Amino acid sequence: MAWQWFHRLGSPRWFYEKTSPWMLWLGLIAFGLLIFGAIWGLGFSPADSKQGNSYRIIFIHVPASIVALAGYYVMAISGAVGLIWRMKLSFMVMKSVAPIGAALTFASLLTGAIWGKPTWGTWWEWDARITSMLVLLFLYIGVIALQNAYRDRDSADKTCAVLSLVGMVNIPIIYKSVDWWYTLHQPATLKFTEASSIHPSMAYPLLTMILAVYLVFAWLLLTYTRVEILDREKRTKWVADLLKKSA
Amino acid sequence: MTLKFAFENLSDFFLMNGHGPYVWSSYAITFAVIAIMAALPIMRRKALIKSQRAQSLRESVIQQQDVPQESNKSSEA
Repeated sequence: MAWQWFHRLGSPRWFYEKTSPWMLWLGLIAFGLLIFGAIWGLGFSPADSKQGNSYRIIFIHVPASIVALAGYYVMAISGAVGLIWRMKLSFMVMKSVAPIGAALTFASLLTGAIWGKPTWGTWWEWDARITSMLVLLFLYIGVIALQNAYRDRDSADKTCAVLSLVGMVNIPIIYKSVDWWYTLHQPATLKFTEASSIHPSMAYPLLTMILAVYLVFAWLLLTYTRVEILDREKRTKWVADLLKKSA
Repeated sequence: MTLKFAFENLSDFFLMNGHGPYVWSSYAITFAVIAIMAALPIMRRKALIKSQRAQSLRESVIQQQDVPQESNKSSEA
């Protein structure tokens, strides 16, 4: 039963048709929650005792960083699945994550820099976490560039999968950087195994925004993958008919 | 947990005690980036539909050019 699902997943058409009814709802919930969480964080959570109002950047900086990291896992795993099972849909997902992950990493670095100025007095430091996040950005951009460098799509997919997998070593480095090195960026506030040090009035909008950004990422990934399916399968009848109907 | 507006008035909300430019530029740029990311696949899809229409137009033109030659052949046969 499970294998049946897995084999169906190999069909781009099945994936496209199965996801069609979800797109509107997922989009509305994702962007609705994003706006709701942003307003909550901006206007309805108390000011920080030490940082004042600049801490409100946390409500986009932390979610963007978390999802940028999680996105890399999606890219690497879908690359591996594509290599092992020769599933072209998996490669389409891998290709689609790259620009979204790059955008989120960029947002994380930028909001981090802007937050750093009033907090640390500097826009940039070559600290462990910031530098390894910059490496993450270069990895995402590398995958995008590599996709466009090959004329043969199969070679492009395979090389990007290998690059994604090799780059996975960076993820635990980013995650653990604040524990391993005596570095500028502060350690984790949200913890899995013990009580978090953040006050609930700030934790709840933060968790809301993390969920919202995850949902926005999911919606974007599905949208990008669906367009990639249409592009790669445009010679098939079902896509030709679909595009003709949309015209 | 009761929620109350964290500022005295709307003007304070924009100024954020001097941190306004930092906070608002962060949110504005991030939301702009997300908006651009959302718009790109929609534009790509439209371009696909357009190229599909151009392609099918080319194919129908080629077909029409073939038809008179075919009828010539059949009349000769």
